[in-house]
Amino acid sequence: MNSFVLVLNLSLRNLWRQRRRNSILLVAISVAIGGVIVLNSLIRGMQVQMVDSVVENLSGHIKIHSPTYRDDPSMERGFLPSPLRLERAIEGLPILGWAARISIPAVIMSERETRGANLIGVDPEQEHISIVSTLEIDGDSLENSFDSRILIGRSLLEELRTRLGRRVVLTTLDGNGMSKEIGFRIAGVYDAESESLEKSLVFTGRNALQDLLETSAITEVSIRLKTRYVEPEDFDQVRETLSELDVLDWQQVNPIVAFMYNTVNLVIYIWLGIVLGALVFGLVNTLITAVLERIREFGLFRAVGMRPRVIVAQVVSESVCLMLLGIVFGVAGSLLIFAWLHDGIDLSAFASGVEMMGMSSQMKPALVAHDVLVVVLVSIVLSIVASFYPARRAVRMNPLDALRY
Amino acid sequence: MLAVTVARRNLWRNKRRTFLTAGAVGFAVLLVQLGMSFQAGSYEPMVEVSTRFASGHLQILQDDYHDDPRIERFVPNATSLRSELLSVPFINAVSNRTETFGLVTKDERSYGALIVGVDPMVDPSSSHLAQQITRGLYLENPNSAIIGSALARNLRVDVGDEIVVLSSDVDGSVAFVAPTVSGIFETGNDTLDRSLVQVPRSLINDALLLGDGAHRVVIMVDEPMFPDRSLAAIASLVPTSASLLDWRELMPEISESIRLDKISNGIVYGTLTVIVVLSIANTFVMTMFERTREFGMLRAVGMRNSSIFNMFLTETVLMWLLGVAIGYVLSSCALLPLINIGIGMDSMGMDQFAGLLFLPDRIYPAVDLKVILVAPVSIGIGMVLSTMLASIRLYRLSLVDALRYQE
Repeated sequence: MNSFVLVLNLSLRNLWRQRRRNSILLVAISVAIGGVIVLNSLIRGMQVQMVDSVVENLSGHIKIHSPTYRDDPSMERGFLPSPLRLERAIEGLPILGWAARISIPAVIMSERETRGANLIGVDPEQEHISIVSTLEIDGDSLENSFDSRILIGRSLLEELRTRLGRRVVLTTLDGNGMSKEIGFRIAGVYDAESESLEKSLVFTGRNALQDLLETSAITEVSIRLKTRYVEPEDFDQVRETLSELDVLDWQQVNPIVAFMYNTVNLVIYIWLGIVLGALVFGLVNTLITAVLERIREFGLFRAVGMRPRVIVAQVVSESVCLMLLGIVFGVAGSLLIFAWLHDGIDLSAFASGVEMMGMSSQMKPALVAHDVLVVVLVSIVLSIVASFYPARRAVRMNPLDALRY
Repeated sequence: MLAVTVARRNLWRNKRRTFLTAGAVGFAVLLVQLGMSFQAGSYEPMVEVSTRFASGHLQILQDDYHDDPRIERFVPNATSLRSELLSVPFINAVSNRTETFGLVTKDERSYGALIVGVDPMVDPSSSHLAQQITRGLYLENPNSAIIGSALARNLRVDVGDEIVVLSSDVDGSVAFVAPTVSGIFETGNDTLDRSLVQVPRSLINDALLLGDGAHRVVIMVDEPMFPDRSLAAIASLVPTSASLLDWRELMPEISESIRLDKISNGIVYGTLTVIVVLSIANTFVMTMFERTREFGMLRAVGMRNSSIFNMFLTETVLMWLLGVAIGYVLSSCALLPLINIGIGMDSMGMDQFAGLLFLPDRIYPAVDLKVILVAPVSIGIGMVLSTMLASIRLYRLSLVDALRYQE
């Protein structure tokens, strides 16, 4: 224990002896560590945002269709809901809620224009799990599942050149595959962050739509959990219980987002490797010089009986101390930047590009303790590895030669 | 010449340090060059693929059609405009397109779709759609149509079947055409495959009372990545009350994601450069301390501070050259084989999204002057600054102190 304190004491004094040199290296280490942490938190923030936004859109964590629906999204590909079986399938899961919907393509016609859209039949009471409940609505929102009016996006309303309260005609296929024209009154106009969402989704009451299409089927059930991610066992439980249906998790519903999500994990480690790799050059260079300068000093230590092991320990501990200091400054700096960026970075200048990648135009960093821990541990390991070669040189020399060096 | 020789010998005196420092430079040059060349190589194909999918490089549109597409906002006399445009040397192809939203019906089934009218002899030079026909043939007669594969499946339509397309004409009355499906295309882009129908322009224009009008006059040019030059040259040919837009405005998602990519990579390269330069600065400061007595001696024999600084700077430049050379050798080893083969999207697991994200099948790294110069120049500037920082001591220390200096 005593020798440990001695070694530590010596290392700190040695670092202090070469203040200028070590402070430059300290700045390099801090910039590297701080930079890695800030960039990781930005990347993580983007990742979390991608997941949250797709889960909050209509996909939920788990989505259930009939097996043929994805190829031919129509009312004919619906299935009869069975709440009891669903409750059994999601038993024990941290459920926030589930919603049964009808989602079918339709052609929407105003007096002037014709557009294509997705007609979504929802039960407003179940939609606290999705973006439907958070939309800003001008006019009335849907009262209940039997409300046969529609909610339409602002952009679509403008393209159709119609107004709140007017009627539009929707053409879609009913449960038997027959074309059906249905008139709807526009109850409300919603504003959403994404323009493509405003243009493509039209909402109405689910039971009302079922009556109009003469069916009692639905086309999808969306399940939202209280947690951010869905556990594989939980997903399997739902899939096995409802084996005759097509049960998908959010990654299967949104393959692009899932791909980007998974790529991010790799990007974080590549980036960590690159930056710390660049740092190693500086660290090794400084330590070698520091050791060579002090060959005579080490010879003296050896001559007065210090064991080679202790000398190695001293060099290594200098390197580790410097790295620890760098970590403290780097982490502190990154926390400051993190606090400064906490309200998010405005990416609205890139709105459509950002939307294509499934992100929101406010980029909020997310600090993940695990990532910081990895950065800290890897850099400490690195400081030990990088000091080992210089340290070995320090003790390889015969004490007599070292004293004469 | 003497300065160079002395500098070289000084560097050689401490080979390990020289190579470590040059190695750091080489490492940074390699990484930045690899990253930048793949970036540079991916943008142009991305633009090329996406413009061939839909927008073309430039378009002439009636004012406001871009923001609010209405059927009556068309460019009149499109055929003569086309021949005028074709006389411009850098314009490769011009295609007139009419578009409207329509209800496509087959028996009892109907779906909404975007109906695009094109000139069948002309459009394939600006669009890949003709090559993406998987069943049947491209528009082969004046009353034919090609439709997306998913739409065909959902409508239960096959080659040879008649479909009915309902829409409204310029006056707002109902109009319809009943072409025969001559081909089914599959682009890999789900939205297009589910919602696009192409018919001859003559067919749809007659039905919609558009005459020789076109909603989009699509233009392909020689240098799509630099649209500004083309824009300026064509401006005089654009009819009044029509406007000329380039792909950056037509497909903002593509140009914005390119910009975003450039910025985020710039941050990564910048941080990397700062770290490398800081560790080099550190080495220089150490060198300065070690060589205090040496510099004192040089001054004692009559060398001026400025000459010593010049020698030090020469060493820096030589070290930089060595590092850049290491970086160039490494990055050529990595890039030269790839420039011809490229990297397949499938090897990165990206092929399934190629259609959706407008990515080409393979990306070839592109090496231009910017890729070659950015990393070496920025690191070089950092190294010169570091030399100056380290040399402050040279001017501060008196001759006697320098000579007496104990390490």
